[in-house]
Amino acid sequence: MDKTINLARLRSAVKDKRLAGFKTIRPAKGGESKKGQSKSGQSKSGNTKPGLGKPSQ
Amino acid sequence: MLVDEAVRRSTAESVSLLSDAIGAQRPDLIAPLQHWIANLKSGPVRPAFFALYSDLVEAIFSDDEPAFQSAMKTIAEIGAEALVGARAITLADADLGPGMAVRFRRHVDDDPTTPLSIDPTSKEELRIASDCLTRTWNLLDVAAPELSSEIRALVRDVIFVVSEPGPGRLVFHGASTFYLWGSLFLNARMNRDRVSMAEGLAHEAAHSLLFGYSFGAPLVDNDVSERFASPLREDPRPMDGIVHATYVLARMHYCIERLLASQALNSAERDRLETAKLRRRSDYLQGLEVVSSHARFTPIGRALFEGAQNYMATAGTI
Repeated sequence: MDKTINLARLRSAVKDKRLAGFKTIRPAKGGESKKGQSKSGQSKSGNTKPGLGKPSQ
Repeated sequence: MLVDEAVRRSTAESVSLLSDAIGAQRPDLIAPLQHWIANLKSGPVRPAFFALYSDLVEAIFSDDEPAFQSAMKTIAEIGAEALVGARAITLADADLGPGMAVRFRRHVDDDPTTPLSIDPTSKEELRIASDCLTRTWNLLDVAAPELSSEIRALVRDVIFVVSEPGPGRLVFHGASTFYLWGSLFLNARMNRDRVSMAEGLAHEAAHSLLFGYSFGAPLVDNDVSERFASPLREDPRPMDGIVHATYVLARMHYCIERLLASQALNSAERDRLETAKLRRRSDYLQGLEVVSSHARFTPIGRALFEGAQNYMATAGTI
């Protein structure tokens, strides 16, 4: 059995579908997927604000 | 429907769409995908399933066939297991499964403008963190059982990591992402006691709750290129991040209030939380001002944020 897959055909098949966590995929140039948003976790510069215990977004 | 169930069903529908398209070319791949869908519909699953789902979508849309084949191979191999409570683990294949640590790291560290410096804990640090997590659950069960239940309903894996800050580098306290639904990351060295960890859990679980209600979509229509002052970070953030931060601060305030209202704290813990409570309120108000002035909410975003606003409007006054 052929184990390869045509990803362009796959993209075409789901291009107008809403996939959880991902923006609706458009047949855009480059065909890249776009996440709905980036992580919303906490990271913070080394220069932390005084007294902030749990920096995040 | 519970949030976790809604997320699983939504993801199962997405996997079903992918399965139809994939199966048209590779009928041999339908079975593992259908098995995966059944797992998603039947009950809580490990965050690894969501990591693989995200990897699969990204591989398809970045035209990366090796990544696609790798994700499909792992999907076929990964087994479902009965889930009992939230595990305390670290960012290692030994805990997450073969090849999964690098997948998790990639999803949590996906912002090139603010790269994270995180590493697995040592076995001894994980043991200490795990013991602290047990004490934290015990505290929350007594002082805020509704919050404890909510967090347990959202979280399968508490992933403890370490991160050594350096001059000008990011200090990592914790993180969560929709793409690893069911997990949250905590810096073991920043959450060394049950009060800190309770706040950390409340914080990251609040992000997860927002992700779950919105299925990972932004809560605002503001353009992501717009930047605003954050109540929690030094760097200006998109409005979605400001809304998240402000909402999370309200949830942390709630957690603190519930802990303070209990008889479960010692005097040192009580003193710390009284001070922290004032800071959370101050930071919340700072975030609220930015949100009120500039946020263009989606309907679900507005509804969620109003819940936090309503709570903070009455917190400490009744």
